[in-house]
Amino acid sequence: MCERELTVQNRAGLHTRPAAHLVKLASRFRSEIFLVKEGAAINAKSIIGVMTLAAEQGAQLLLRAEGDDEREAADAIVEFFDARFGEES
Amino acid sequence: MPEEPPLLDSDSDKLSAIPPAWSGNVSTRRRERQLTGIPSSPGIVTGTAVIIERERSLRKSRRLEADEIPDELHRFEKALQKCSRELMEIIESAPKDSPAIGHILEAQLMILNDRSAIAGIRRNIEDGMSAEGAVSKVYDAQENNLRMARDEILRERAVDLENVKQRLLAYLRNKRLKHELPANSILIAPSLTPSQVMLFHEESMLGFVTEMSGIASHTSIMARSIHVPSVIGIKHLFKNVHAGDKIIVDGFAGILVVNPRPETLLKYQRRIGDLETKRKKLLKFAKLPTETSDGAKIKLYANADSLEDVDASLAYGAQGIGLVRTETMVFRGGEGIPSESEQRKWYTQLAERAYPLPVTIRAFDLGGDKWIDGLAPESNPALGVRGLRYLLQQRKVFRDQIKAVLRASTHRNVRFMLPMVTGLEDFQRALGIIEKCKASLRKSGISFDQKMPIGAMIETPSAALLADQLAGKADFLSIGTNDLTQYTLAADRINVNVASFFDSFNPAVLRLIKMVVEAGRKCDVPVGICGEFAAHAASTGVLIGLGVTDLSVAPETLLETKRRIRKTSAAHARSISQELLQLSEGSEIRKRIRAIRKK
Repeated sequence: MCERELTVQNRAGLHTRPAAHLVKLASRFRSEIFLVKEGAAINAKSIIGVMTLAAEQGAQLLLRAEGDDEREAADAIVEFFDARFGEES
Repeated sequence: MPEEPPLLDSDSDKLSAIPPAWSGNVSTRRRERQLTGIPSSPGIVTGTAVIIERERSLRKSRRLEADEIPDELHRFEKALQKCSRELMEIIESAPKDSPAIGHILEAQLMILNDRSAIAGIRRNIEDGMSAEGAVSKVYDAQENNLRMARDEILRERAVDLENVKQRLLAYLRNKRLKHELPANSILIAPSLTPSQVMLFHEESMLGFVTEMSGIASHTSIMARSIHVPSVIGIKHLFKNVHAGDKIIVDGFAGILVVNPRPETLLKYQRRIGDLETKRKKLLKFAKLPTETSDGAKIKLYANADSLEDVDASLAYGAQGIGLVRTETMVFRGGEGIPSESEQRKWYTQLAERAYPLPVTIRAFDLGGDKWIDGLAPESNPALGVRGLRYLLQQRKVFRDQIKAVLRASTHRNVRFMLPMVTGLEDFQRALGIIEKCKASLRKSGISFDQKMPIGAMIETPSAALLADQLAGKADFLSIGTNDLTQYTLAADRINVNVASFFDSFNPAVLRLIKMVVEAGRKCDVPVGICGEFAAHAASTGVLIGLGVTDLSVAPETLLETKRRIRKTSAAHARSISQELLQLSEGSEIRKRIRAIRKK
């Protein structure tokens, strides 16, 4: 299992569009990928799950990936968060 | 197009229209009526009313017998497939120059195919629930989760789930949306989804009117981006409009005219003609980037004092709202300063209407020539208690406004601007009050944008001279040219006897503008100009030459200003403004500009 800490950095938070991107990204990997916020875990491959996570700017999330490509999956998602979901320059 | 029209339906009872009877035969029984709603997408169209009735409520669901379950599962899978296919087709046909639409629909497609939701629906059906019941149950639960989110943007996104749910339910009931509309249709509906708008637009829908409001809804955004005029939020719509009625939709004013008299019709047709001529001339600029001929990017904002202004600005391609004069609210209402909640409502509407583009709300600029009850008479009001000075004295007014603006900032597209700043001292006092207001909201658990940008208006010579200090504390600077001119040249802007002294082209004013621009650049703080000078035919080039990067102009002048920006060469403008700054009089400068423009 591979765990990483994530922070939502862009101002508008994890709203519909970045949620859609995140789900697409997560779905490329075979691993089970979960996001944990305040103890509640949701499947990162479910857009409804990611949307209802209601992650605002500054929210701290724990990424948990489990499977044969867990490390690649975690790296890609960390990068996506660091790039502010590709929304802000 | 596919062989089988995906949304053609044989037994729909939702759509009814009488063939258009647009010419002649105005029945005397049908009197003209004008209904007022909210303008949601600009433009005017005349056409025939087509009524889309409310979906019938869910039939009472009984528990399924065990042998019915496989069929019910199959029914759901089929609806899922067809909805996906339909959405994909709409996505493909969506205009490529409006990426916002594609994103909305793509997200809806992903929601539709969400594995957890599908698994949940299947489980419910396997437990004996009807497919309709199962879909509603799963989606309603998630919608409730979203509606409880603290973040307003996320709360609004419950709409996306609702749209997908409605789409599935419509299919399950085999009452798919019919897309054979008569010519010149204007849809009258309780509400429409963005994909319905898209779909009907591909057929012959000219415009639409709904009972539901929600100007920031995706439906309104969609209508604006594909230029379909619409009016929303009309109460008792179905009592007043019937299938086949001739109607006019005025998406600028938010008016629906039913059975117009010939003279009303003529009046609107003339306006349509005028608009068309003007639109053709300028609209090609709306979508072009705002940059000079040598590629320097300029941000072009609009000044907006009403929701209608915001709409017009967006339609003309503004990159945001650069100035909202909140004191117009005081004078419009006629009852003094509006309450915090009234203000909040208005600011929120403005922010939602412009979302995701930024909206710059300027604090009340009262005093001076904008006199208000409670101000002591002053012998020299322009040099008296006005703008920020008034707000620092009237703490409650200031605090109420700050809180209202903060509460409207949940979409994170609100900027707050302080008028009549004299220097660092009054600006920092204001920042202190804003911090206190934030703390008090935080204590009450009210959400707002913690990093809402705060800007200073540069209207006094002192603020311009101290712009380097202000730029260190402000998130942006905005030059108010009229006041800066009046104070720099000591010429009352409303006194006709000194009108010849009042000249924004005076080199003293231009030099101050240059100082402010340079101070902003050093601190990496954007410097804008709002006010008539920004849109002045002769000044656009000069301002670009001085290094101004943000302009905010009246919506009507947006396209014209953009046309001028695109014709200007920034490099050339820079060398010319260097030269202009050495001249000694405004009239000389203007003469020189005229000569250059003629070349």
